[in-house]
Amino acid sequence: MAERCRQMLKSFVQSLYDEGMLDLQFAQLQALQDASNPSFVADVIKLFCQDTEKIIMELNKYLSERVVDFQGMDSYVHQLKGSSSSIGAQLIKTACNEFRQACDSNCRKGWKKVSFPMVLEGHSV
Amino acid sequence: MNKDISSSRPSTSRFSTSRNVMKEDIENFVRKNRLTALVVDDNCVNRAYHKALLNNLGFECQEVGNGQDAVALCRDKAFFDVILMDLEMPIMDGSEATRMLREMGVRSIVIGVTSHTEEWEIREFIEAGLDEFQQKPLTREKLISVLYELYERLFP
Repeated sequence: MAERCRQMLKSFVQSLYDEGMLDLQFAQLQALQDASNPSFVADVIKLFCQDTEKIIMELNKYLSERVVDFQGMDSYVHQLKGSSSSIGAQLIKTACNEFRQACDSNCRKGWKKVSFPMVLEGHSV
Repeated sequence: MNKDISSSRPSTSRFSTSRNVMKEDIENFVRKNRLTALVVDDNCVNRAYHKALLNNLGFECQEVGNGQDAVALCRDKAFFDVILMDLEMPIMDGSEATRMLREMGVRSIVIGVTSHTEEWEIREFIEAGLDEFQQKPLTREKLISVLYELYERLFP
């Protein structure tokens, strides 16, 4: 039973790599999990999800303003980019990069169209 | 960069057998001498990951969320062999914190880590007093590589 669960988890993680949601940095996280730290990966992912939820809430507040403060948003996106890159959440990291490019042109529509759905999708996983 | 690399450092190739032996030496030395490290980053996920990387190498770690807290710790006579310093942080950023630590005479190895890519930002960070700089994301290999480069500071 345990072996079957391990195989299912392995297949699931592989599918995330195949879909581009994870990159090789995730393997760095997995390598840090051992007998002395048996739930390290799950703990960090939980922390990431909680942190990302807060950041997305803040970003939503900015986007709901009539005049969007892109510079204010940028610091939150920078945080999200940093944490997603540390754990190998490639899709979210890519979305953050795309947002910053959209910010450069102050394109609010561009951010919503290109990045936001991807960030939400990545976050829900 | 405030590198203190002796010219007598053996010139092993980056991935040679002798470099692999050196990596083991680093891990053994860290554990045996109970080296300490401070993780300075405003993001909790990065702090957890960097702390785990350092713990895995045998460091005893503490963590703080901004540069001001790092400076306060060191001002209270806490000593760390290695400080992993993020750049962009609220209250006091990594450049200012590093500058203040050096002005205080703190001799810890300070490794700057950031996902910033602007050359001027990185240059300013290095000139604040870093011993080494690494682009995020940090990996075990990058960390060992940096400690290897600075081994003469760790292996007196």
